[in-house]
Amino acid sequence: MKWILIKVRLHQVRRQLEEIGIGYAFILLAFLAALIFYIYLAYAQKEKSLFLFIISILSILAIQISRSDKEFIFNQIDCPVQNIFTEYLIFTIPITLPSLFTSHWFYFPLIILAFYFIANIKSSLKQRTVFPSLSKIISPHDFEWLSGLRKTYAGIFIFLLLACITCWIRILPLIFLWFITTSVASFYQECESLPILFASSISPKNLLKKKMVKSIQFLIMTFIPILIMNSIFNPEFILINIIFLLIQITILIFAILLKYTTYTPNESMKGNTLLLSMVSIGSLIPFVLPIPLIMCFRNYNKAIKNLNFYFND
Amino acid sequence: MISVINIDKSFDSKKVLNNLKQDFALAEVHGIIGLNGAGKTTFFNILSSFMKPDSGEILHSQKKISRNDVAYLETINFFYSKITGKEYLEIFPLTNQQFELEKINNLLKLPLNEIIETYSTGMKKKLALLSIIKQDKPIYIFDEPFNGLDLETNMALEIIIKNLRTKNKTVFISSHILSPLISVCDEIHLFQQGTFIKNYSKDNFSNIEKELFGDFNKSASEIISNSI
Repeated sequence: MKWILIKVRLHQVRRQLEEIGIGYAFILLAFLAALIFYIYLAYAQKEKSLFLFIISILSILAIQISRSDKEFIFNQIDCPVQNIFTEYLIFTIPITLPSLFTSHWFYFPLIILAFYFIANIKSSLKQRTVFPSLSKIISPHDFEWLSGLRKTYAGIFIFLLLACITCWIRILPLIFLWFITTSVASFYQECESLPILFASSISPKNLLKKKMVKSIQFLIMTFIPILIMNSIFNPEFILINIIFLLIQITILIFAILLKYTTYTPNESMKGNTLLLSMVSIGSLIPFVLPIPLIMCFRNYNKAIKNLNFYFND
Repeated sequence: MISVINIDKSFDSKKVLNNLKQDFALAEVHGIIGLNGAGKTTFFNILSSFMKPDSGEILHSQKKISRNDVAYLETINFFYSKITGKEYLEIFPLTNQQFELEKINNLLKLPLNEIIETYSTGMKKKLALLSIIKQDKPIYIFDEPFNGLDLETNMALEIIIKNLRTKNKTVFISSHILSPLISVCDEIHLFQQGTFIKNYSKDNFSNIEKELFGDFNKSASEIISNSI
């Protein structure tokens, strides 16, 4: 059997390590060691070990169903199932092997067995059009929202429902709304093509203004009813609710500005995820609250400068 | 007249367009032919203002060409994920008052209410084509428009291009297949190593194949018969 897939993956890992440099490679290694230790501690506990077992299997199942190279592997590579199975086995070692050294060691052979069955799955999730009439409510010019809502509607709906149900409780609905803001901020990671960019606006300033105004409108329309209800039940929280709304708007504006600061036609800016997460999480920590606002001011001029490069009329 | 004046463009140290000069008559269909990597797409990107030249300029009726003058169908079409064909088309302004989506889609048969990820390559090309022709512009650029299209849509595209000419639009098309160009073009321009080296008028189209491929055909058949 030729281990072609494993060889390719190892080449990719080596190339990635070379790209990030020895310093970052050591940081990554330290992070990995900490993760293995944490997983080992978690496996030692009954409830957490069951949770880890389920998460490991569901994650690999999700990867297998959604991976785009599956058809190629099954058609072109010798022993595709063994290759995929070995790939999963090797790359999940940090999260599966620690179980062997705990009293819940029996999860390890069960995970291996599950991985083998998963590696046999050839079918993929079929692309479906959910909410085909969504553009009757949201204009196609707000394509980030159309696309984002179709991708994350389940999560957003659950958090919105939870926020509604708990709207009379202090703080809790705000946490659910914060999760919605974080999901919405992720809408702004995919860069549109140049024809769409030029069709959307006549100048960078105009484009950013339109995007920011629209996103603020959507956010306010979604959040205001819940925040009003929360303020009625908890009048002493009115100011906190107002500040919360302003912070969520700032996070969203930052997401838009970050997208256009790094805008490259037709690219998905996954590299922005880390910064976006830091700003989102930072908004929960009182003493770093001004950071999103400072980042917005900092990124506005950068976004204009980057867009000017493309709007070179 | 569209005048290309001394355009230079380099990527890193590689010169792609080299002191490019050419005049194109308005209200005509111009075919652009050349080998892969000759610089045709870079020329189209500059003509459509998608890219800035390092030096030189392009004038349209004596004025600097503007992005608003041009509708551009790129070789590879990119779409935003999880939006439907209909939503994609609605992003572009409807400036061509004669454009009737339902009627034209009876011909192209696109599932416009489905998300674009479910489309085949040819369907995506047709969708991009619709987004171009719903706009009324004086200049249309089609970069390799015949790639990936079925026979019927190829014919429909030829009719669309001829129709644009009757409306006095200036059309630029590139293709690696000569026959559709010969059928629709008024002039064909040969592009080589970043510059136009020869123009063929309609009367000389019959010479193109002979001049371009005469020697190549001979040597290629010799190599192929000896090596395969």
